Amino acid sequence: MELRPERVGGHTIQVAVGGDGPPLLYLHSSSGESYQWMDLLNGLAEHHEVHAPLHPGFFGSEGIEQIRDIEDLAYHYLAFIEGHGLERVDVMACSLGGWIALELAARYPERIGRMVLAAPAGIRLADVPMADMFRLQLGQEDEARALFFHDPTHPLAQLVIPTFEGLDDELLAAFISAMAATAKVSWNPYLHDPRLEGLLARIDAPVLLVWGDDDRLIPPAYGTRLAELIPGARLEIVPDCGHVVWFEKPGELLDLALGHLAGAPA
Amino acid sequence: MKFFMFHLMPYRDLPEDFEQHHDSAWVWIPNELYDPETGAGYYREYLDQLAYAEQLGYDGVCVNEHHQNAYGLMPSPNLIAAALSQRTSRIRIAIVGNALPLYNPPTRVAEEIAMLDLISGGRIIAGQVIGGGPEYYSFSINPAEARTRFAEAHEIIMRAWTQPGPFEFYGEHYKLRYVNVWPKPLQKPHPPVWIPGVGSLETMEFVARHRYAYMGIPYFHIDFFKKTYGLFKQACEREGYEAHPEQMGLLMPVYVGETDAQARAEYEEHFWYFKRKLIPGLLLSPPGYTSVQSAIRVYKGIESSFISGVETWDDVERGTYAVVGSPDTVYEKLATHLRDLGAGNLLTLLHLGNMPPEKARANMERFAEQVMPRLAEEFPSPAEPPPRQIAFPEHELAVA
Repeated sequence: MELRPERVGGHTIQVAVGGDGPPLLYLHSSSGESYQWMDLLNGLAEHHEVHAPLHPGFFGSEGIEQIRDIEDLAYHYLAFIEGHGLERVDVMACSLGGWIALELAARYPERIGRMVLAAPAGIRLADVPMADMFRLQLGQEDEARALFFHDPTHPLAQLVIPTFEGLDDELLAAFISAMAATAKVSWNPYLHDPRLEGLLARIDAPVLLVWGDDDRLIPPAYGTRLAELIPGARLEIVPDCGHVVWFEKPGELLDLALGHLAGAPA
Repeated sequence: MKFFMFHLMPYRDLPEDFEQHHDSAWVWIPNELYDPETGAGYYREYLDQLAYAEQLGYDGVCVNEHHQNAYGLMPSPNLIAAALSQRTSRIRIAIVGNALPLYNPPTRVAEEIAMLDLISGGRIIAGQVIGGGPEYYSFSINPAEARTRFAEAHEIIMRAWTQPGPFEFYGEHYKLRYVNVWPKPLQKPHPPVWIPGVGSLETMEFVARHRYAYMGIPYFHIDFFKKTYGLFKQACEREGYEAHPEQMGLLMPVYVGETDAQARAEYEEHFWYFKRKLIPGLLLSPPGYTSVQSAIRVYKGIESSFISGVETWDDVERGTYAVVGSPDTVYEKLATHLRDLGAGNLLTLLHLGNMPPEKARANMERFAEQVMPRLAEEFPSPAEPPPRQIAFPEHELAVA
């Protein structure tokens, strides 16, 4: 597994690459987890050739200036897929990454194979409010852990949401930059694209949605609704789990993902 | 020295235990706490105070813009300026709004400021501000676009005031087929522009390049301002000129009492109301609102030098978060700081927090009668006027 630079659309981005098997595009959440090759990604790499690009603005990936909204990110990854000569690619994606994957699959369904989406953003339910992740300020890391995790004392909570006080400037800058890049595409409309709901019926990939039962950012009702909107989609609820399924229950998510990607019955 | 009376028009009746139940006086502060009967009375009092500043001999008044908060109840500083234009006849009215990115199309700002300049007989100072972090929550404007929207809106407004219309403007954010502002401002070529900043180099360079006036955002340790104004002067030097005192404004809470002890005794409760109830939330910083480096700098600055860290009256005195004392003390402290900073505009915040009107008026009087004349003598206005402001330095360079 290694992090290496690639050129996309005239910009240099960082891509974590590794593993053997059919290619798999992994689109990370606002935590930028592809930067640190965690258990989940290692597990995927045992069965797939994983390509995990860092979104523009995340950990050294350039080009955020040219990204205005989520649709621009979808075209950014269309260019990525085309650049790799992939006809049709399987996708695993989390939260912000899942939203990008939905935008891409709804526009170019023929380019997307099987999809595993953990707690993707992208739609809005008027009667089920999402929490405001952008309300959190630097210094409110305890509140952030409580928002994203079912169990804020989970060992990974401290690692992926470190206490900013005393953090070295380089790491602090990376977190600030990642949050700014997230906000740039999802500030308003907040974490959704009003056009997306009407496009989801175009998706013809087999889709598995995975949601924590205690997701305080994007409640599981969003999973239920997405499963209705995406033809044939299946929803799995992970118990005792918050928004960040990929951090909090990586083993469960990996088993579900590998099963779905291997073509287990939908 | 030019003397301005700055007002925030705060809400004075937040509950005693407000800060135990709310972490911010901004954006999310429940507006159930706002009582319109009380609020109507506040506007009367505050407008009276600002109008009184003319009688007392101040050079101008400053109004500013904040939204959805208890700290400053002038969501439309232009409305307050309009009211003041009818209650005063001599003094400058400095509008330290309009938060340009909040208005679409920004030609609206060009129109309103032009109207105010005409109505007031050419007395308007046109502040142009990016808007504080809280405003981006309150208006749902993407903070990542704050700087680029400001730059485009600034260009539209300055062109609308100075270039023949109609013309077309196609930017990234604003796409205007016909810009053709009626009326145009009275002052030629345009009302003076002031721009506040919290210390970011980009803002200072912008102000220096245009020869506008720079105003440091208050409530930091005095050393922070010394550093900031030093950087601004350097930015002017890089543009090939020496900063003029009237290109710099110092905004400072000031209270003048009979003696040091009496001043503190009369003032302290209002300072703590301000600090404990109204300040929390002021520096809310949505992601992308500043550059990454600025975000780190402000984050660390808040830890070390912002008023939110002030706990005791000793802290207040040491960092000069307010200048409070007898007329002699206030004079000496302000003279020292104004000399160190080189600022030629003193923006006095003579009402603060939950200060009742009689106290504010007495403070205004004592400052005007016992401090202002001595400072005016100590800091006579320079013979040279401030440099001519240049709305379009890049165009001028192209011609030269």
